[in-house]
Amino acid sequence: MRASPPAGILMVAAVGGGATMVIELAAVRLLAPWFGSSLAVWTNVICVVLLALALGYLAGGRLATRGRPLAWMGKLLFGAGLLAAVLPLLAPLICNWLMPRAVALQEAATLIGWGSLAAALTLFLPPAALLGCVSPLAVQAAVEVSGASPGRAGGWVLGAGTFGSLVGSFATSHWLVPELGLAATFWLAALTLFLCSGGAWSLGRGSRSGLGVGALLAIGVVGTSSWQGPVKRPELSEGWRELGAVESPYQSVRVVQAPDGMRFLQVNEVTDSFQSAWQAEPGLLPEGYYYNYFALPAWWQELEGSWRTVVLGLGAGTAWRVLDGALPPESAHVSLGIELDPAVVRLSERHLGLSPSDERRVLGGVDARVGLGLLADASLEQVLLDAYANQVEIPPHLCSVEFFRAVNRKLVSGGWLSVNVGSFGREDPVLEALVDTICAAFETSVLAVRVPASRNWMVYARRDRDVPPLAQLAERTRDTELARLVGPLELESARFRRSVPEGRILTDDRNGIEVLQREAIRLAGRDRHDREHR
Amino acid sequence: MLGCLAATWGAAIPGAQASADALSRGLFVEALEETEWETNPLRQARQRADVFYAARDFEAVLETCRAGLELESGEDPWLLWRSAGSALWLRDGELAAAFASRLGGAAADDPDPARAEFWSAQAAAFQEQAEGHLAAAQDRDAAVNRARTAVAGWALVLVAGAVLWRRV
Repeated sequence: MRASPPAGILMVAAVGGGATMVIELAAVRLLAPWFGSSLAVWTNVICVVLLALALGYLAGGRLATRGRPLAWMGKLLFGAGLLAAVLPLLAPLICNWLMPRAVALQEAATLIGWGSLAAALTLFLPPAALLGCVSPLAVQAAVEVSGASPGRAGGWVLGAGTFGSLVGSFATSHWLVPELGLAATFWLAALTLFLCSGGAWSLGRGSRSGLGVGALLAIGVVGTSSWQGPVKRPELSEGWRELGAVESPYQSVRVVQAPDGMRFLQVNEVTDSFQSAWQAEPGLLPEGYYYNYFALPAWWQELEGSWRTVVLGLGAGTAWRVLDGALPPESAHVSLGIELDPAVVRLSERHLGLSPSDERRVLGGVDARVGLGLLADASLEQVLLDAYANQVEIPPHLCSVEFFRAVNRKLVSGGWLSVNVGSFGREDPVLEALVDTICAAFETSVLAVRVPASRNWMVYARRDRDVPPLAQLAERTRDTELARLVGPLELESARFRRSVPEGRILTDDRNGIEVLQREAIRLAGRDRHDREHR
Repeated sequence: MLGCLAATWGAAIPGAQASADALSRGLFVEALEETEWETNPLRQARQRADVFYAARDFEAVLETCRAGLELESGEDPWLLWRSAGSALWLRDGELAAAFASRLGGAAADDPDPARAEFWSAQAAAFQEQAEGHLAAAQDRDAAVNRARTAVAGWALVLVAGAVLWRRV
C-alpha cells in the first residue's frame, strides 16, 4: 500500500484549485468595467463561485461512484478549460446586454446588484461547478490508485487543492492580471486546464495520448488568444473616445475624452462618474466640478508664505491643476500627492498633464493613510481628501475618527482639512456621519457646503480654530474668478455648520460606511419617488 | 426674450429689479432678501425660483415653484419653465416631461402670441430632453428586468437539476 496518492492526481487537484481562484478573482475584474468592483459585486461573485463549488462537490461525489474517476476528471477539466477560454469573449456580450450605457450613478444601484449577479451566474457558475467536481473525483482516484484510506486521500487532495488555490490567488492579483491582462489570464487558465485534462486522461489510460491532445488544445488557445486581443470594454457614448487604458493590480483604468475636449480618468466606471477631470488650461473647472472648492481655504485666511498641501487620492492631479490656476497669486504652492495605484499616475502622466516636480511630488503605490503617517506633524497648511474606491465608496479607514485625528496632527495650527463627499443631499447619512466624525476628531466647528450643479458636498475643518464665516471669504474673493463659487454658498440651503457631533461617529473598530452608503442610495431613490408623486 | 417676459410680468418693479441686480452681481443672499419686498406671492415665487436656479439649488427651485403653482388655479409658465429646467438638471425625466407638458398647455392659453410662441418652443425643447431621460430610464428598467429574469432562470435550472438529481 502506497503512503500517498500519485503526484499526478495531486497536481490535477492543485491546478483545479488554482484555476478556481483565477476565475474567481479575475471574474470581478472582468465585470468591473460594467458593474464596478463594489462590495455588492464582490459578494455576488464570491457567492456564485461558492454555490458552483457546492454543486460541483455534490456532482463530483456522485460521479465518483460510477467508476473511471480519472476519465471523468479529464472530461470535466476539458469542459472547464473550454468555458474559461470563451469567458473573455462572452463577458462583453453578456455585460453589454445587462448594463445600458451612461447610467447615472445614483440610478445604477439596483442594476449593479442584479446585473452583476446575473452576469456572474451566467459566466462563472458553469466553469466553477465543473472545477468543483474535480476534488471528489481526485479523492476517489487516489483511493483506487494508491489504496490509501479515503480520509488520508481526502486530506492529500484537499491540501493540494488549497495550495493550488493559494498560488492561483497570488498569481492572479500580483502577476497575471497586471502583467498579462485579463484575456490572457483566462486563456492561460484554460491552457493549464487543457493540459491537466490531457494529464488526467493519460493517468486513467496509462498512455500519453491524452497529454498530446491537451497540448494541442493548449496551443490552439494560445493561437486564438493572440488573435482575439484584450477584453472589449464598455462602449463609449457617441463623440467620446478612449485615449488610453490599462489593467492595474487594483482596477481597470482608462482615460476618455469628451466631444468638448474635457478629459476624464475613469476607474471601473460605466456610469457617468469619473475620478479625475482635465481641461487644457490649469485653474477653475467649469460649473459643477467639486475640485474648484479645494481652492477656497487659501483665500479664506491671510496667506503667509508657502502653502503646503497633501492630496490624499491624487488621481490624475486635478486638484493640483485647479490650485495652480486658482490660488492667490502670492502663494508658493508645494504639494505631495498620494495615489494608491501607480498605473493611474503613469496613465495620467501620458494623457492628463500630470508632471511631478520638486514642488509637486507624487507618492505612488502607497495607501493614503499610510502615506499621511510618513509626514511630519504640524507640517501642512491644507489636507485635501478625495479618496474613493469602487466608484462611490469612501474607504472605511479614510473616514474614521482615528484617521481624522491623524490628519489634524499633520496640520499647522489653523491648517485646513477639505473633504470631497459624494452626497445625494443635505440629509444624506454619509455626509452627516462624516461631518460628525470630523467634528469629533477636530473638536472645532465644521462647515459643509453643497457644490452647485453636482452631487458633491465639500466639508471644511481647521485645526484649533473654527472655519471663519463665509462673508469673510466672499470679501476676499470679490472681484476674482472665485466669486462665482462663493456667492451661491451664502444661501442657507447650501450649507450647514456643526460644532458638536449630533449623530454617529465612525471609528476604525465600528465604521459601517458601507451600510450608510447603501442607505444613502435607498433614501435618494425614495426622495425621487416622493418628488415625482407629490 | 426673457428680459421682455420679465418686464411684462411686472418684474420691473423696484424690488424685482433690485433682486435681479443683486443676482447679476453674484450676491445671492441680497437677491433673496430683495424678494421679501414683493407683496404679490406669485411674483415673489418667480423671483425666489430665479435666485435658487442661479444658485443651482434645484430642489429649492422645485419646492418654491410647487408652492407658487398652488397659489392660483391657472398655470404660471415662468414657474413651470423653471421647474422643468430643474427637473432636467436632476435627470428626472418623468418630472421634467410632466412640467414641459404643463408648460405647453400654459403656452397655448397665453393671449400674447410672441410669449405663447416662446413658451411653446421652450416646452418642446424640454420635452425632447425629458424624453431622452425617459428613454434612458426605460433602458435601465429593461436591463434590471433582464437581469432578474436571468437570475430567476438560473434558479429554475438549479431547482430542476435538484429534482432530476433525486430521480436519477
